[in-house]
Amino acid sequence: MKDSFNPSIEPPKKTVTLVSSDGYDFEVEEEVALESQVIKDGFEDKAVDDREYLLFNVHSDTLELIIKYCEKHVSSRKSISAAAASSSSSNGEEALKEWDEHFISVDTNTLYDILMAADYLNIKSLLDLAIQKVADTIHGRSPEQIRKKFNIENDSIIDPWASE
Amino acid sequence: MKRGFLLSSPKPKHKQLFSTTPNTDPWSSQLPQHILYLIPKKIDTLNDLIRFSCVCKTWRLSALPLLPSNLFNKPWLIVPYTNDHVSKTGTACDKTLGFFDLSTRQLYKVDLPEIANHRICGSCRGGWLVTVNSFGDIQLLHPFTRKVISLAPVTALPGVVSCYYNERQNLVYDVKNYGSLCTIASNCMREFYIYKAVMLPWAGVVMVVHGLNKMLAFCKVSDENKKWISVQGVCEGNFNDVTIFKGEFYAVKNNGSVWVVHGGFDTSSSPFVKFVIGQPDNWGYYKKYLVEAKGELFLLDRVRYPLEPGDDEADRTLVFSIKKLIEWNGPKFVSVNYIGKDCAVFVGCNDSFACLTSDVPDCKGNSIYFTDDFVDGVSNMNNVNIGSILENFVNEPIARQDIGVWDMTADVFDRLIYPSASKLMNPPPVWFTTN
Repeated sequence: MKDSFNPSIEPPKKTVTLVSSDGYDFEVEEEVALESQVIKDGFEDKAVDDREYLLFNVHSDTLELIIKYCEKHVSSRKSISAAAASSSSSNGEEALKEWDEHFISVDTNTLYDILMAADYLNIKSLLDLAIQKVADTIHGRSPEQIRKKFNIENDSIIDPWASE
Repeated sequence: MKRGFLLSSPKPKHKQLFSTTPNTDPWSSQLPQHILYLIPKKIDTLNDLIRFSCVCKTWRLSALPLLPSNLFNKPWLIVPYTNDHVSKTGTACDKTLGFFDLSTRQLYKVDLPEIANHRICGSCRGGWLVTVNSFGDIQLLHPFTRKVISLAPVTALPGVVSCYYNERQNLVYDVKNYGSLCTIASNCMREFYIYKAVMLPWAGVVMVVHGLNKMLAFCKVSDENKKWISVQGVCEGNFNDVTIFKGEFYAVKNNGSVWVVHGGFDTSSSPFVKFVIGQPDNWGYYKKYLVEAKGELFLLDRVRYPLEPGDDEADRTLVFSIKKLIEWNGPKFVSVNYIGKDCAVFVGCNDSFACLTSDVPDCKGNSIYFTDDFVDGVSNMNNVNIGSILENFVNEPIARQDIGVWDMTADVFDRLIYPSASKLMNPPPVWFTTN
């Protein structure tokens, strides 16, 4: 016999604790943390009361953003599959894409931090998003403009088409 | 999501322990290799990739595996970057071009908004394209750097009398043609009015074969008030090609006579053409090219099948007749059937040049690579109805694609150097090299 769906008796959500490089604790839902492949790998081996992850490579500023991203993706996935199950039309994918685009519209320092964190935590979709943003930022810019944008020093390689 | 007590205590603004934001230059010096190599893979246009590779040494290393080999030496075929090989804007370019690598047969995408609605009328050493649009703008444009240098417009060319909107609100040009005045539509102007352009890089001089009767004029890139100046002594015009040989402009008329431009390009000088040599045979009908190869000047006649339009073979290149200019008691032409097994020649309406096989090992030596010469479809411009003839030609181009390579040693044609053989391509492919 199947229980009828009743949100009021939903079991309390399991959480894990993420500790940023500067010592801040972030308590997040398990499924949000599992967006990270690194956390997912070996998650089951860890004792339930020992679900704390020391992320010495991710600053709290960045971790906040990463968690925001993961939360959004977990909730969007749910609503997209719910819409698919009830075969009602949904523009969830589109909306999420738009949200992503807005999310990644950050300065290059923040973009760098997100990129490194996404790599460290192995969140593939976020890594893809960040790298695509780097490529989009390069699009149409001259080497000099790119250097300025990313704060890169010209290490005097010869630019074969340097003008004037 | 942070625990309450942390939310209430303000975080220090500066980052401390294990901060992932290093002091300087993290993008070039601290990105892990595997990420650095992922970035260029997301860059989908060749010119973005080239600019990416110019940023710093580490970025260059990550781009190298994706960059075409021998980028600076190899000749490219610029083609429409669409599935059906036809630009959405007729014979003018789209804002995206395809760069076809003959050796790997790979097509690269080049985003170039600056070239939209322009026709490429010249490719110059260093990789500059000379382009013209139907509004009469003429520009030098580098497809990799996207640098644009404006030249004096078409309306400043000798022979262009006026430019206006006619009663049907179409832009038209009144131009002189063999002494009489004729009106041509703006897209016909774009296709035909500048026949060929070439730049003498050290002097910054762009020379054009212009007008329906194919005269010579030049523009100095460095001039503040850029203008087109007629080359003196041209008389009736009829120039078929202009090129650079030993640092000077050489031009050939459709009767095969070769002329050199003398007199310098200072503000005080007035350059003029001087007769060098006539052509002994009468090949007047065929398109002529002048090409400098291995320090010598060659005159090529492109001989096409003399068949009627509609026939499969019509207008296809049959053979090239080649002559070499030598000094033997004065200049002389000698017929040759050998340019050198270490040398490949490329010819087309916008550019003709030679490549050494030592620089471009994938090129076939002693061979002539040719691309379509669309603008040659109308051979005789001396006609009172030229305006409507040109319009018909532009609006309904003849479906032909005369692209290939002729191996002179074996006398064999390979007409499949570009995969879409036998389909009309619009605009017709042109050569490009940065060499």
